[in-house]
Amino acid sequence: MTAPGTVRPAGRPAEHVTAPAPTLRRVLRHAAFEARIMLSNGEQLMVAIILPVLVLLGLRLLPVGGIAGVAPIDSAVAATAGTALISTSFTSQAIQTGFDRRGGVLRWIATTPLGRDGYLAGKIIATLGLHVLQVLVLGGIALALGWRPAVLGLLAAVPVWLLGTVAFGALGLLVAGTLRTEAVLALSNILFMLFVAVGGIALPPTSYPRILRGLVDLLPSGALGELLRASLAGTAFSWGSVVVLLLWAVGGSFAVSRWFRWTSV
Amino acid sequence: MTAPSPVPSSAYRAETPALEITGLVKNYGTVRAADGISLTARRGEVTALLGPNGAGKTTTISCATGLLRPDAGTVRVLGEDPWRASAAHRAHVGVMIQDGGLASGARAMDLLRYGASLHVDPLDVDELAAHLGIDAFARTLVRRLSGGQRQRLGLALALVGRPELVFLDEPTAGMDAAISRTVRHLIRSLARTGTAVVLTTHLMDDVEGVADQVVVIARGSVVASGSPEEVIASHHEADGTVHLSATAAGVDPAVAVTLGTELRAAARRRGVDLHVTTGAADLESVLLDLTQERR
Repeated sequence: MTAPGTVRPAGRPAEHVTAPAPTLRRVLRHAAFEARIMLSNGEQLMVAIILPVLVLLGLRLLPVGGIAGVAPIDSAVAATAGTALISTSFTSQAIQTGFDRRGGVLRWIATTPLGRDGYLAGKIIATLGLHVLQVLVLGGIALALGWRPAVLGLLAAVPVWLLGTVAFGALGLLVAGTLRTEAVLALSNILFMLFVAVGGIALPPTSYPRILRGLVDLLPSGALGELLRASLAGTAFSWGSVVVLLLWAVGGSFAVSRWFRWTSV
Repeated sequence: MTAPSPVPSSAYRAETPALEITGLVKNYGTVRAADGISLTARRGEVTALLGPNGAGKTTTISCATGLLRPDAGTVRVLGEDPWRASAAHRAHVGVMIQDGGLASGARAMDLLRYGASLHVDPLDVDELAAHLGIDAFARTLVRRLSGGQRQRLGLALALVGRPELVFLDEPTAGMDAAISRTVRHLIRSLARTGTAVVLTTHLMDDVEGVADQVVVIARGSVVASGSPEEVIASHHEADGTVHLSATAAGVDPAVAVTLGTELRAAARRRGVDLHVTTGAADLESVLLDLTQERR
């Protein structure tokens, strides 16, 4: 530490300017900052990469989750894609945002030139960046396991992926912005397990008892699972699933704008 | 890319108080945290908001930094409503919030560099880090920092954008004596260069020799304001007692007793019962007295 008075931190000589960095630069810097924190956090990496890899290997190697007329690797990839999307967009976002909220990070961010809108924009970009990393890692493993995707199917999966990211990202922010941190941690992990295991991701709704199928079809995970299987595994496409996922995306976004609290008091 | 908005003109800056709060009211449910608070903070001065926990200091700062919307009253920061502040406006205001606000998963220096990157012409982060001793824990994760280290990092983040107005909520809480002294020097140097500093504290060391203006807040209201000397001099205790302060150096104790006797006699001739003691009422005792009588 230098002696007091040896620098003038507040000095604003004429050649210095007090102004915010350009908007895009602020948002991209925040996205890079968020992504770096996510990638350096072991628990986040576990949820974002390791768990989807385990789902991929499990569904590929174990006799579960199969769909008649569909190659096991294709149904396994669709389930893995859904798992990866929910883990990053929902669980990771909920936990990280919840802890940021409790620690006052969101309050401090709101007073900086980045602001609340820049924070959310940066977070979305960071999440999409992590998705790209997930696609590269999981896609590489799937290719090694014998996955041979159709180009049209991959293209069809892109809008599904984006819509799912909005829907689950909104739900993650809603949980993070309305509940206590302890509840955020518990609920986001429990919901993740339920979405994947019994919510139509790992297993198609046709695997469930008839009485539960209608309920699973109405869940965001059920709709996402159906659309990913349609695009990546060639099963029947359902406009009903598009409507359901769209409603969750719109409803979730509205709920976030209405009820998200930036402080935990 | 969007170009940053122009900064306010120097003439505009000179004429407008850095912070002007009038009749601020803020309720949390049925609890009234701010009950008609009015205060002004000027450029080149350190304004200290004093008061016990729950007095309304942080609520006032939160309204001034745009984190809370007042229920009534007006708040103007550098001439603008902070609730509707633009990015350009926020670049002129540095904020150190009370409970850190630091991303726990980041390393100290990475966080400071990130904060600097939000501004077009920030301070030299290495120089700032060296000045506040942050370089000693540059690679440490924020969640592993001590309270004092977090405070220093929060202070650096508040200053890195060369703000015109700085809000510091309990700036020396958790710091050891040497670091606290450095921070107080820094706060004075900020004011000397024309920055308006608004700090909240319950530590008298943060006020004496640092603050140009003191605003004492209790139960959501301003109960005294002015320079520290003015607040002490104008203070009447609840029973009407006034403290007269006199300092004499090199006086023999026996002479002091005689002086006391003569003072009492002079006061009695004016119909005043004067209580003479050694020492004087200091700011801390005034603060305690003011805030306790409101409880």
